[in-house]
Amino acid sequence: MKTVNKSFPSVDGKGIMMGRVAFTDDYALQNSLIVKILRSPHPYAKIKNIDASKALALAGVECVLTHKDFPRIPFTRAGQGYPEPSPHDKFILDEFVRYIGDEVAVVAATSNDICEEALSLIDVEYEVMDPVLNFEEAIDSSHILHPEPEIHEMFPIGFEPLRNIAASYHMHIGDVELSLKESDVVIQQSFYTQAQQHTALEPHTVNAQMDYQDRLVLYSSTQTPFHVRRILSQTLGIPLSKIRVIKPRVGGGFGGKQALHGEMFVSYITYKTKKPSKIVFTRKEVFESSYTRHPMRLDIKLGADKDGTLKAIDCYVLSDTGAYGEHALTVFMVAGSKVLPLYNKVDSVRFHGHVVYTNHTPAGAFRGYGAIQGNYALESAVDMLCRKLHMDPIEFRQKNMMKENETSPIFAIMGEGTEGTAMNMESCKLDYCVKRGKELINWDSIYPHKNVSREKIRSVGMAIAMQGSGIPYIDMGSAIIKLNDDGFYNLLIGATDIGQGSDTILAQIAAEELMTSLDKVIVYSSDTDLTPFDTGAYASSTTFISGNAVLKAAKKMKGLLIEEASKVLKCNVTETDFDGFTFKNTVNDEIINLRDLSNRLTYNEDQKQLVADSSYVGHKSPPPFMAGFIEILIDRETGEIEIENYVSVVDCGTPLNPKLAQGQVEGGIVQGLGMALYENVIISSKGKNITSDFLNYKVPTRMEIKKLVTEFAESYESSGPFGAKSVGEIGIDTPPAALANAIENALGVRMTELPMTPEKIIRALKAKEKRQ
Amino acid sequence: MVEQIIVKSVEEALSRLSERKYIIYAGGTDLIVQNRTVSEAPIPFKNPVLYCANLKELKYVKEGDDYLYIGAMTTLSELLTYESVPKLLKEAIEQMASPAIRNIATLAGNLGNASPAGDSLVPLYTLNALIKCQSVKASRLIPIQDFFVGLKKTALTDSEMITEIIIPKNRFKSTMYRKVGTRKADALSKVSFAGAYSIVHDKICDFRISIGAVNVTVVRRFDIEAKLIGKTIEQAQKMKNQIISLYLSSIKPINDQRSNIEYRTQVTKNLISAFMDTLD
Ligand SMILES: Cc1cc2nc3c(=O)[nH]c(=O)nc-3n(C[C@H](O)[C@H](O)[C@H](O)COP(=O)(O)OP(=O)(O)OC[C@H]3O[C@@H](n4cnc5c(N)ncnc54)[C@H](O)[C@@H]3O)c2cc1C
Repeated sequence: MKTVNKSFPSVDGKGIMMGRVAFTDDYALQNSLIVKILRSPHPYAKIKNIDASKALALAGVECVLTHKDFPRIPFTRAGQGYPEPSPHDKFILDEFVRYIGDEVAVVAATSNDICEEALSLIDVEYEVMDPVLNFEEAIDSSHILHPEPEIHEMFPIGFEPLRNIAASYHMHIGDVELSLKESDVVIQQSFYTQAQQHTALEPHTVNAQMDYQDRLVLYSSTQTPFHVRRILSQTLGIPLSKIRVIKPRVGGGFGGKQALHGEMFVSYITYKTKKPSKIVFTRKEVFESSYTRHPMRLDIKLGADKDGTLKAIDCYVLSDTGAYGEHALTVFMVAGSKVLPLYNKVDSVRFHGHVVYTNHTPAGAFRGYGAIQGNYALESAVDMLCRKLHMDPIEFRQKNMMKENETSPIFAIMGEGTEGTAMNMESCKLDYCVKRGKELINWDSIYPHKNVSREKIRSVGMAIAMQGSGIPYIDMGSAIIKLNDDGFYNLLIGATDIGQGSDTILAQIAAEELMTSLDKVIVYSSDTDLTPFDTGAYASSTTFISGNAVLKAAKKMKGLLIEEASKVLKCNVTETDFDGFTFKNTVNDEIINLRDLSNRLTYNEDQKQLVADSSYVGHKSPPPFMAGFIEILIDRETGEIEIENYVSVVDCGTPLNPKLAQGQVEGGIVQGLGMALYENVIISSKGKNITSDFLNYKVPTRMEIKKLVTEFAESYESSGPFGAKSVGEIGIDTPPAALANAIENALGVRMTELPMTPEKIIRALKAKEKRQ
Repeated sequence: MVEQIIVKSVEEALSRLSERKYIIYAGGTDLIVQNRTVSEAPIPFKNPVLYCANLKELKYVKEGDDYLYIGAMTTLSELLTYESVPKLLKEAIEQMASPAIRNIATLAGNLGNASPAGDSLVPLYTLNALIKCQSVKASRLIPIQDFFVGLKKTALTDSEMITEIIIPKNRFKSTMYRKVGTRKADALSKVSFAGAYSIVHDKICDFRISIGAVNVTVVRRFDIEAKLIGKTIEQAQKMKNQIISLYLSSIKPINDQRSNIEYRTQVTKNLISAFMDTLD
């Protein structure tokens, strides 16, 4: 392979670093109205009256919008395919506010300062109501978040708003109760995971303008431009044909930009006033009023035989979706569907639970998408079980885990909100990943721990993980390739590059198939007018789904080129050779090069534009797999943890661009370690987020991790483009469990609640001392 | 907008301070955070500002026979470049904030801010530092433990500024500094600790412990330290539990979003114990 499986620098990296016009706010018109949102100071309240007269009297204020300005159409901001698996439980503006930071009113004015002043001049009379702040007490609470009659589910998702339930689910295979009863050893444990913030450096940003055809043009920092266009049309009643959504370069998404946040407001204002407008979330708004990861409680029971055969997995999950049910069911289901198949030899499995409404900032899509929560619980529980069995945790996994060419019945039962798709693991190098990771971390010489000094202990821990590659039969990607004179190509794709490098790897796929160099493929992506459809950057789908579409389009283009060349060379297509630059008549050795052919097609003879297009929908979702190994130094006096090394051995099929793939894995590892160590949204007893800035919400810095070692297993997924599977999410899954396991290996205490702060470690050590 | 003055000399600064109340602005790394707003408007200071960061006269580290003299506008990064700056203080500075902040922040600012979590305060207590507070009329040398008079309160009057920090030259047998924070960079202390001791003829002749972030000001207890003077290491170590409980009676940690009482208490205990175990 010439272009794929090579570490080309990303096609946009250099321009971005040189400060070229690239990001959403760079494209906002100078005279844009500034849009700002008045946000609720109460976790739950009814708006009795809004008096905006003083704000409207202020010079420079264009308009103040309240719930009275919008038609009462329930919808979901989730940014998913249609019909969505998320309940339609949100109004653009509502007379109820359901969390501190929820939208009350919207101001558009000529400057930031006027906007701020106008916000302070709006008088709102609230009827404050009792909030639900503890998600374990949400079901059947007397305080109901969504009593409004208009809201509904799009298909059955177990939606029971009057019980504060946004979604619920139950599945089982075999008889779990019986299998547990028959097991020699059983463990049972509840695990808690917290709300995590995406902390993309670029805040949620969108601007709007009317073009010379009187169409609404949006630049948006989004992961889902096509869903944005659809949802705007559905909620604002603007014809789809009158909306164009352009996604420029995006400064990180991690799932936080799958949903719509400011899009409705700027669109409404610009469509109504015909003036350009823009909104840029403040960092506080990103923290308080966008999304977090769903906090969960996972109750796990495992049963095994004395010889270490895992027999049963029972898992109940309670998930907190906050004020609105965006991604409620699907994130919850992935906590099972992309975790439980890791142990595919069990007799029985049960997975069930509820997703509840609370008066917290809504939870939404976030890298890992439930799998990180499920992985933390299951992979922690497996180590606990091994301890009880007196069995080596690696040996146990090697015995019980998924192997190549095997399957799990879960794939057929659980999809994302619907039934799943049966599939065999045609590529699964988990065995190699575990073996290689064990070597790289020096497991045998450290496990379970080594005392380093009076207070410091060195230890290791590990976990295995899987993810998916797109949503079968739902996610669709497409591509158009156009030949230009001089012999270079345009690649037009709906796929959404949000910094992960999808423009680069999709261009690599096209270049590989067309046997040309990367600079001959000019990528343009994510513009609803100019590029074909794509569901967007989520569910680890771009490499596999959009990549397959690009590969198919490139194959078609190659066919078209050979056809045209054979006409010139006066031979059959089967007699025409093509090496990417030159066509050869294999009968008489006559040649024509691509440049001459394309110039001829453009200007001279038999003129035509060559265009090839294709689209792709997955029929399966081949999981990437990985083994994560952590080495830590832990201080038993302070409970502080130093990350000495994190080894990731990943099976993502062919890494199309090893450098970018490594970046994806390592970014995921560090983000996962942040969740494991200290990232935490702290909510006061009054429902206020008290960690709404970077001084108080700590993410790992460059200083935190001494060493990351990332390797890729040799693997080839025949259904993927050039053997590739996904790699965007899998990296985030293992750190919480691997770290929890390393802590237990060092100190003999089991951390069952994230983040695993020194405070909790010291408390656990004290409790252990007391027991002894 | 309030008046903002860039002073050209210490003399000018002091004469302005004698006229009315000013906010003294050094690196601004506390002031900006404390006065920030969400909008892009200028920082809304409540009093006029005296910008002192470029007073060259106050940027120095000088060594005398018995003392080290640090000019008030010397940045933390600069301090790290001097051999003469004591190890305890350097260890604390190295773990403060992050390189960009250390390039403009000052020791005087850390003192002036008087936060219970101010990291340089802890080693400066252990080092018996003196704070030089100057006004047009006079100059006072205040021992550090008298400089802090309560939560976020110092002995400084409105007409004074810190011009110098003076550190007696000490020759310890050994020192121990520990900062316990959430992560390695840009994280305030949950607990910090600076211990030092010396031994002559097998007997402890100097023993000092300062603990930060567990009370409104740094905890330093001369009376507890005195109990160990003249003791052998063996005798001292036998007194360990007694010493620890005496310290615990003088700390008053709080629950905040960084940490909690239980943790701060336990870690204080563990760090005193660890320090006493290092005696040899
Ligand atoms: C991201 C970040 C991380 C931080 N991390 C840490 C940390 O790890 N540890 C820590 O201790 N601190 C930390 N800080 C706080 C701050 O950087 C320090 O307190 C620093 O030493 C303040 O110095 P400055 O020169 O910037 O002070 P300024 O902000 O200029 O002043 C602080 C206060 O001192 C007064 N003052 C300044 N100079 C004088 C003077 N000569 N005479 C009298 N009063 C004076 C000012 O009026 C003001 O009240 C952090 C701050 C930030 C923004």
